[in-house]
Amino acid sequence: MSTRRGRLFGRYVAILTALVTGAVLMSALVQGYFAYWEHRTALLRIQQEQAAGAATQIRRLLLDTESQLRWAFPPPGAAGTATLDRRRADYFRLLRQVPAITEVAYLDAAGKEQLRLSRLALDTEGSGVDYSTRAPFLEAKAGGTYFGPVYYRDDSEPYMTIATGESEPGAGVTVAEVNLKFAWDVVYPIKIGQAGYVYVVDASGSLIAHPEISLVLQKTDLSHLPQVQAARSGPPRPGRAGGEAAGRDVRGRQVLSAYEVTEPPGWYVFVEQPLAEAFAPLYSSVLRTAALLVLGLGLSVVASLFLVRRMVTPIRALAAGVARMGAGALDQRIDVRTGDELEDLADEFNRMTDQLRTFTTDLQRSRERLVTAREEERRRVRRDLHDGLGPMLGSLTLKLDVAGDLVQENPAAARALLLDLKAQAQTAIADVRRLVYALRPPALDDLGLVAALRAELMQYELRGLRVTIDAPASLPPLPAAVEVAAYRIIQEALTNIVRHAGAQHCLSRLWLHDGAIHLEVSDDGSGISPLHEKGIGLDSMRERAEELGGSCVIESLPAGGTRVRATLPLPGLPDFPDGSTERDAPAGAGACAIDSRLVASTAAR
Amino acid sequence: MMNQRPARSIAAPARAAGGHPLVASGQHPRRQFLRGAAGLGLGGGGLALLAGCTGTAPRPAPAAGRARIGVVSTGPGADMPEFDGLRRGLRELGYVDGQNIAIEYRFARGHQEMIPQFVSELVALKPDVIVAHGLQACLAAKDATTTIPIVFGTGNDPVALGFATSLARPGRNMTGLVHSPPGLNAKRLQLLKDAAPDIARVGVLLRSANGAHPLNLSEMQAGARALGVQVQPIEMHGGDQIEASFEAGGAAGAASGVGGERPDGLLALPDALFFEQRARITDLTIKGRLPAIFQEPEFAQGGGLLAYGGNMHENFRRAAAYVDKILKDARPADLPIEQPARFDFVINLKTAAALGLAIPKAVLEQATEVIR
Repeated sequence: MSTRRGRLFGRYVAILTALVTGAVLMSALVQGYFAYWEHRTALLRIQQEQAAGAATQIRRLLLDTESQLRWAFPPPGAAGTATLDRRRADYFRLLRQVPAITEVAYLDAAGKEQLRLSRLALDTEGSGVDYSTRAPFLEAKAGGTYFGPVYYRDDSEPYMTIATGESEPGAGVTVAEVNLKFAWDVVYPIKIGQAGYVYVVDASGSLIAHPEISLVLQKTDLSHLPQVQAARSGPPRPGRAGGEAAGRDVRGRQVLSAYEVTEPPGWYVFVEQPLAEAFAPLYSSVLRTAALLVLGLGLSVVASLFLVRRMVTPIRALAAGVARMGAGALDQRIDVRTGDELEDLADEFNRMTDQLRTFTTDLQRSRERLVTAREEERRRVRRDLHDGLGPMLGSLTLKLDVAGDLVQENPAAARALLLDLKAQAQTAIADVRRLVYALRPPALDDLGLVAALRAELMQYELRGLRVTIDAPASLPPLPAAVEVAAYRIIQEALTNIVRHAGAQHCLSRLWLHDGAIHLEVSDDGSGISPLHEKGIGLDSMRERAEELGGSCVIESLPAGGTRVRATLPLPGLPDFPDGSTERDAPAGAGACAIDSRLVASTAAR
Repeated sequence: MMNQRPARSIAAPARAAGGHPLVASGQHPRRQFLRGAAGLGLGGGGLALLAGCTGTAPRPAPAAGRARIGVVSTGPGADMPEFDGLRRGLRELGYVDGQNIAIEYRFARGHQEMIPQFVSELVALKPDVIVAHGLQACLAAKDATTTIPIVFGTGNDPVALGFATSLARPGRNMTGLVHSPPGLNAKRLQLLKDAAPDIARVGVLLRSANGAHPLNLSEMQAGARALGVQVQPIEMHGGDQIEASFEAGGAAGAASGVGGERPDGLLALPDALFFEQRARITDLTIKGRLPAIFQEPEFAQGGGLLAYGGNMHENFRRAAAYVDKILKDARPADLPIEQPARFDFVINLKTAAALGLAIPKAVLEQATEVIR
């Protein structure tokens, strides 16, 4: 008992806590999952817009440079005739207006360099270097604008060549070397959150512009970064954009990354934000949820402790109460005031205790009655022996002395006396027989229960009552007390019928069933009149049955007459397997004729 | 780590160099405590563990302690545009001298022979970073330490001088700015020739004591030949001998030509002393009717005819970014050396008028600033 104490408590606390925690955790997980995706999608969309904006600025920077180159062209119609001095002046103006251009050169229609102006080196004129087979000249001459690949001066400073040609016949090509460090002016001011940034890589993945200019000056190759690889895996076309959540930055940190292609010149503009920062609001929300979870857990533990305590406390009170009852304290009552099934259960226990107490009292009373009855019986036997048989035998002895004396003197008187003595002795024998019969009908021992009953019923047959008996031919050995009780109950019932009912017929049944012997005596008489209810041996029948743990019911039959039913349990006696002793319905009146010879022999004894 | 980042808590007390500008450096209470504790530990020997702890503790962020910056310059003082720019750049990055940084200056003021001593003084202070300005200062710093990070500003090729193995990856304890790329003096010569096409002999104002100047002079020769001008060095000996130098160089007056060798133009090499004496120098060029070109815009703004060069204020403002990165534990070896991308070309038309010079239109087109 004590080993199981607390199991119920622990189990219910665990279940309730698990339920509440599970519900909160589940909702947090589901919410967190959707929040993550929404947040990620929204962030990527914003980043893509920022990338598009930055790409537009980079593109504008290059196209502005290109249009500045065109502005430096001579006016329409004058291209073929413009002097180098004229061009030099135009180029000086160009250099002043576009700080990013470090050098500008003019190639004539044949691709020979005629003029080269520089911010750092000496200007040259008419060097005649042949550029006619090189890509900048060819592409510009064909009418387009050449945006060259990125190259690094002194292995450090990023540069690109932009070349554009004049459309008129005989005109040449302007080639500018553009310092791409000026792209820094575009990317540096763009702030994405606290730690986010914009950078630009060329088609081969080399870094062109980055807020951290050291990386650019170190010719950093970013083609190994997953987001750059992903972007480069498709063909670069204008406006192509993408987002990547599994990006890494130069230091290996995870970043949320989006890009936009800018055309010309086929560069990728990336917008990146460290994942840790991008998802910081999400992380804080996760933290909040975790805090709520802990709070919910605490609350659910407290609540379940309270609830289970409310349930377990009365259960323990019940258990303790039942244990006390089991120990015999039947005057105790279980006090549970929960207003629910538990209180009902306690009330049931209390009622059961009340009944137990009643039963115990009844049992005590029956025992007392039994003792009283035994003493009564003894007193009656003593009285009969002392007051009847004793004096009779005393007087017999005295009279035998007198008869002895008279044998010589007066033989006739002695004979008369002896005859008188014989009669007196026969009276004494009759008294003894009556005494013995009252103690236990001898027929039970001589004939067995069924035969003794048949013999007894014969007596009533003689008094004008037609009696039918329905009983098995033989019975297993029964306890003597049961035999006596069955015999006496049937005898009492028949006496009542003869004495009060005025019946013509009587059916008496006896069978074994379900570990008990069942008796039934019914008649077609006038039934029980209220006047006779007491003092007609009904109480004594019931008592006899109850003393053995059985029951006895006397009832009036609807069609008239009375029926007495008694059941006497037979502890330890198995039911008859063949059912031969079971009779659900009375057999016909002649089913078992009463054996008159048996009766005669009984009477002869 | 210990070698490269000396523990400031056990640094020797700041030493005030007599006569040199010293920016006041009131000690932070916490660092005083640390220094005291560490000193006790070293002195007693028994508390060496404590000293070890303070020595290897992670370097605090600049806001937590006070970073120490040593500055050594060939120039005259902290009011030069370079150091205005440096302080401004530092301020923009959140560093204020006397609050979260302490700057220790050493200025040679033309006494180049003092520089090695200044540098070793600074190195003894174990600063977090040394800023070297001027070729001599850079060379002395290079020789004095291979551990303390050095941020330089130089007009010479840092790779050729051995400051770095390459511009992209310096590879040593030095990084910084090339504020005047090699070849720019030849470019100046061309601009001077373009502005005053008649000149044939250009006096180059220099000081042999400035180690960069002989290099500059030799770099110019090829350009001078290409332009068809002769260069004639004019050695200037000291701040009080400028006129004498001009005299000796034949640049003082129109009529004082020495054997027909009188220069008809002047190019002043970049030099802190020249910058300090720029008023007198430009004055002398006007008196001597010499078209002249300088590096710093201040020369032209103060009466010089032309000035072409990177903006030194701006360049040293960018040097602050290097200081910042180094204070945040970046290694100088990994910080690429930057070259200037913007150049100012200032033309003083008042001076041109005074010299009776008509600046060609093509030259005027290039000017970023014209003083009328």
